[in-house]
Amino acid sequence: MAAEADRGSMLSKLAVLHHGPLFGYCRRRLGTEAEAEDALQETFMRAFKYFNSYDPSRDARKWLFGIAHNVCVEIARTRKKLTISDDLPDPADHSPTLVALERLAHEESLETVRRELHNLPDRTRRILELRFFGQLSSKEIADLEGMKETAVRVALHRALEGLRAKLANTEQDHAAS
Amino acid sequence: MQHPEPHDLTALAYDLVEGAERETLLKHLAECDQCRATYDSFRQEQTLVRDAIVRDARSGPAEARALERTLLMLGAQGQESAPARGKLLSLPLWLWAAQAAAMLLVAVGLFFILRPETEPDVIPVADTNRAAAVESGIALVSDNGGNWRPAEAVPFDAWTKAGDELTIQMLDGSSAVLQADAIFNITYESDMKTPILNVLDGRGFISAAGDAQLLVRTGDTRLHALPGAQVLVTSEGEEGWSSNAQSLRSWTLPRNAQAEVKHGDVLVVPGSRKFSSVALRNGESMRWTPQGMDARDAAGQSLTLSLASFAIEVGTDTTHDPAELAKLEHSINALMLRLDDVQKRHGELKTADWFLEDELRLRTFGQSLQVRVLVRGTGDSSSVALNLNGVGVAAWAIGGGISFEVSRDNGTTRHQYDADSPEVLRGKVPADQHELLGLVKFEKNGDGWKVSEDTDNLAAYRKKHNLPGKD
Repeated sequence: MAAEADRGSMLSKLAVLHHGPLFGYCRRRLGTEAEAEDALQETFMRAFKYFNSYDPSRDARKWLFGIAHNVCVEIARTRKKLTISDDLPDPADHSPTLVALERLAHEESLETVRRELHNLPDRTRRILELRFFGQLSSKEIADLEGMKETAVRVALHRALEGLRAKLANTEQDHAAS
Repeated sequence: MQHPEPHDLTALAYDLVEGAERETLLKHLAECDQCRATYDSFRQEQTLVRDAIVRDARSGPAEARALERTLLMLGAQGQESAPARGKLLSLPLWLWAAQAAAMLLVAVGLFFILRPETEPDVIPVADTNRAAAVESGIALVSDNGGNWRPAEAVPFDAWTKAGDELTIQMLDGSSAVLQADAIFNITYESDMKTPILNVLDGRGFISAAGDAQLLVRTGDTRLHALPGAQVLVTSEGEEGWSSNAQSLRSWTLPRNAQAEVKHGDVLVVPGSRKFSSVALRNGESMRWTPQGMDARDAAGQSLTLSLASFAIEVGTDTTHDPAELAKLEHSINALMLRLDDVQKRHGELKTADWFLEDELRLRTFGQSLQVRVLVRGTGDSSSVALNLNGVGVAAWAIGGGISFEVSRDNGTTRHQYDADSPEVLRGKVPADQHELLGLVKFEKNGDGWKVSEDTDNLAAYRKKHNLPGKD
């Protein structure tokens, strides 16, 4: 039982440290705050259950993202569809701090990026989300996705080429105006 | 020269590459302008993509709720009190049963035993050591073992990492919103009134209080945010900093940094002094790298004096083109107008006056070149700046405080000592730097101090080290 107590204590600390990015990732994958809350809880439940699979020499954050990734995939499979965060609320609905930051962002370019992200293949979006929320490398993402590392990079690069062209147009329009 | 594959540059810009491969790619970038330009554009794009993805998905209240539920579950405060799971997990029966069994295992096995352990192990921060209060989010500080641990406040002069989006409030009412994983620390000027916020890595939106000033440092550049100013700072550190708190030292500098003034006035003073300082206002920005600082107005026009102008400014042996001199004078006049404008609106602020004086004093280097020279004193502040064959010595007095700074290697390492008397200052400065300290004379001036060059000691130092004279 003492070992289980240590396990729970350690996971509690990991939850405090990493719940934000994990929540963000789940929300991007699943679409709503309520679903992300459930997925986060599920992630830590599995982390507790399969704690023996954790290698302490590895980054705990990456281990947790591997679990969260699988949780989201399973949930999406169960629902027979994967909701990509089209229904994310307008940033203006966020907390005041986010409102402040958002208002100050380069709105035009950001909007272009948002639109183009919507058009990216789901796999590319997952690559980006695992990178930004989980800080995973291309090798770690390749392991999760069952791809070769080079394939991850090529897929991302090709998918971003369209985005780059749109961004260049936005900048040209901005310069012309 | 063999260039990397484009998809590898994309991966590098998106931080997907690790280890030796990353080193190899970065080495290539250092030698290849073409690839570096591509990488820089990818990197800017990455910032936008990250913002678009991360910001929209984060929500403070929902994250707090999710954390609370998770901690409750892990603490197993009884099966009955465990929060209900959402409809999302209306999974197949076998899976639900397995999950319920797991839940029960956690609940029964850990009841009582875990409860004392589930409170996050938070580092306490004594009131006397608090540099800022945490308004929302999680502040992580080093536990001296190289690990980041949650703290109940931002301690004075300790590297702090935003464990989440973190909102802090400093003692004078200034505030900052640091994005997750940003690394920073907070100290105060020697008067213990003006906060100094060092942004080492990550992004922060910083607001000076309406009636106070705030000093933001990133790279070796100081951003003097005047009352009410708001500035968005982005700083990029070396790989590994964010995970190794032990490697961070007070003189650590980021790889590059940017700042964008969103509101009000910000005086920018590059520590290297290679370029003139400048007053920025709403919509204007600056970018710093170890090679120098560049400031731009809202239209993208450079506001900093060019490197060539600097050579003229310090009076080297450069042959001076009259057209170049005229251009320099025009640039200086434009900067002067900006400073005049700031001074009109913030003229009563002594610290701001000091920076203005400092800014103008630097121009005296151009005197022999008949570039327009203006020196204005504030009466309440004084400073000394010496460049001794790559070693920078600076001292300044403002209010009742005095400071002494030694920088080496073109400003990439820098040590500053603050005190309220020369005796105390001498006790703080390491013995091997006492010779440099002796180049500065401290004299009582009313309630405060006045600093100036100790001409005798300076002449002796130059002779001893075979350095040319100032003139």
